[in-house]
Amino acid sequence: MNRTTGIFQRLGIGLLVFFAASTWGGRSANAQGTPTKEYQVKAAFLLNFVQYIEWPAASFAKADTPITVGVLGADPFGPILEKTFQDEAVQGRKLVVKRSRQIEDLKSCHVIFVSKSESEHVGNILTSLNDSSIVTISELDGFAGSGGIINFYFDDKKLRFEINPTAAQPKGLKISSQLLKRAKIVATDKGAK
Amino acid sequence: MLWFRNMPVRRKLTVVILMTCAIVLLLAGVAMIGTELVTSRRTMVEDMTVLADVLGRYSTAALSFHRDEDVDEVKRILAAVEADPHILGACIYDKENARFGEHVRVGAAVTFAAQPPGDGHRFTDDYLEVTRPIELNQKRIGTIYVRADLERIYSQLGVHAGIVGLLLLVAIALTLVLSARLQRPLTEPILALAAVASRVAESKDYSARAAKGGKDEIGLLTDAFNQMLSEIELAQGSLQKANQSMQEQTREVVDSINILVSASEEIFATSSQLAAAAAETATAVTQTTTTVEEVRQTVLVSSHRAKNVAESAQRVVETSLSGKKSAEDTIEGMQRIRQQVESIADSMVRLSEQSQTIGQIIATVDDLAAQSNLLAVNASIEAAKAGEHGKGFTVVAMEVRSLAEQSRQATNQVRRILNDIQKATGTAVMATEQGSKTVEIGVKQSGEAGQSIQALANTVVEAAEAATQIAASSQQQLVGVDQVASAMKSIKQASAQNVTSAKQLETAAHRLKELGQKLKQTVERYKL
Repeated sequence: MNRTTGIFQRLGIGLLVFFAASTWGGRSANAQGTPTKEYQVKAAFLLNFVQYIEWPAASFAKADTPITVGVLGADPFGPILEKTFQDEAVQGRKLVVKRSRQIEDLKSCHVIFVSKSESEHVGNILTSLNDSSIVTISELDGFAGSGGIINFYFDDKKLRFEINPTAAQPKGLKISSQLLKRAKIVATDKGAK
Repeated sequence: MLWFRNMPVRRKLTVVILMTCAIVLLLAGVAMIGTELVTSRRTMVEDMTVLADVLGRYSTAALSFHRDEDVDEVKRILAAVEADPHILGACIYDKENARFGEHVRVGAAVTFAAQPPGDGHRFTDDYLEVTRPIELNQKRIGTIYVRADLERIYSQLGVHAGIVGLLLLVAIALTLVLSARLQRPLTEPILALAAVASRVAESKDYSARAAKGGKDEIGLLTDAFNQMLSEIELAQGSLQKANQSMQEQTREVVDSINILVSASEEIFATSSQLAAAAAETATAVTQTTTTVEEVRQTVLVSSHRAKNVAESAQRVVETSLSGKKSAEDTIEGMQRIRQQVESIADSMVRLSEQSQTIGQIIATVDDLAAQSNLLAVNASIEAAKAGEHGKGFTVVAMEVRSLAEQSRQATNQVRRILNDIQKATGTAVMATEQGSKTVEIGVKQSGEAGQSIQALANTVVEAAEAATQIAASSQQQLVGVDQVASAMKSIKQASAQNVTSAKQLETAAHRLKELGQKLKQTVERYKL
């Protein structure tokens, strides 16, 4: 409980700082300006996403099979992800992190965060994951339009996210309206595969 | 309650029916209103809880993302409470228990606490508040607080109270109308019975009887009343008889009491004497006890002495035994003396006999001497004739003649001596006989002395036995006296108790006497 509270406090402080920054529009203390704070907020959002997304039953071997979050490419989070997921559980499932530079290593994950370092390979990555029920998340402009499911972006220095529900539907992923309500809805570009 | 007790039966019945109706109706009304209150409170709490849970469920995403726009969303969600006119306001707290978003009805003065109160619901005088947790994935992410006024409950309560009051008024009116008619079959026979009873009481005419209406309890009462009147009639007759017999009995009782009084006086006198006698007895017993103690001392001394006597007697017995032995020794010595004396006597007799033989021998010798002399003479004559040749013979004859003479002289001398001897022997025999006799007497006397000593010894033995027995019996006597002494002690205690008892008896007899006199005084009042 103490550890949990500690995380909440840390998380809370981080969020508060972020909100303060975004509300008053402070130049030096915004999320974009301090990478650590930015990724703390992004890790918290990742956790919230997992809570409002429902995977098909076949994605989990057992009732308590953990939700695996994969990080593909250069990891911008460092230990922040583990700290954020520590002591958390969604529908009785724990959260574990798996890192790799090879997409093949992460095919068993439920969520894959595609790092900026993979911007060149987004098309290939998404294609290789076409038949899986993996939630792809990134922070690259046009990621959602290319067939990715969730993408972070900044609007007036506020962290926002876009969701491509059309891409999620064939994968059997159900995204809660609560989550959709908070996102900018995008569709797959005609040009994308 | 005096007013009720003095009320006529008719009105009493009305009042009872009215009260019963009113109480039953009131109780039913109170129960109904109470149930309604409990139910409506419970319903309200359930409604509010459901509402709070729904609002909370809608707010989970906003709480999770916790952004500025999420606060606005929460406010929009909470504004839905405007649909219920009784809800005053609602507030959502985040997981740090800080106020996140709130909504207050227009015109309602509600301020929310900085921190949410504990989960559950609370009724105050003016409002109900419900606090519920907001959970996501079994994890508490916030708290919702809803407050509603109690107008709904109070208005329902008022309506129910009005219905109960109206029912009560209608029931009272109906009761008043109906009771006047319904009570008639009950009151009329009672009033009739009361009339007969008061008539009997005034006239003392117990032969009157009441008319019976039906077979209900009042009919039974009428029967019982009539039966009572018959009983009273009968009882009056027997009462007079009883009165007479009681007078007689009282007289007998008075006589008995008089006897009792005199008897108790006599008992008192006797018991007084008894007490005095008991006191005297006690004194006598005390004296006797003292005497017994003295006797005991005396017996102790005499027992001691008897023991001494027994010992002395034992010593005497020993002495007499040695005396007896000495006497027997004496007798034995005497016997020996007698034997010796007897042998002396025998010797003496033999001596006497031999001295007589000697005498005969001397006589013979004398004869021989005489004849020798004669022969000598004859020899001398012959010798003279023979002349010279005979001369020698003459000398021999002469010599023989002198020898004969000398023999004769010697014989004479022997004879004399023999005579003396014979005389002395005779004297000695005499003396011996005398001595023998004396010894005989001595033996006899010694025997007698032995017998006397024997007799004495026997007597002493008997005396010793007697003394021993005396010692033993005086020991027994001592034991006996000790028993007597302890018996006397018990008697003394008993007589002391006797004295106490006699005194108590005296007191009791005195009380009895007083009681008898009181009884007499009491009974004298009943003398008719």
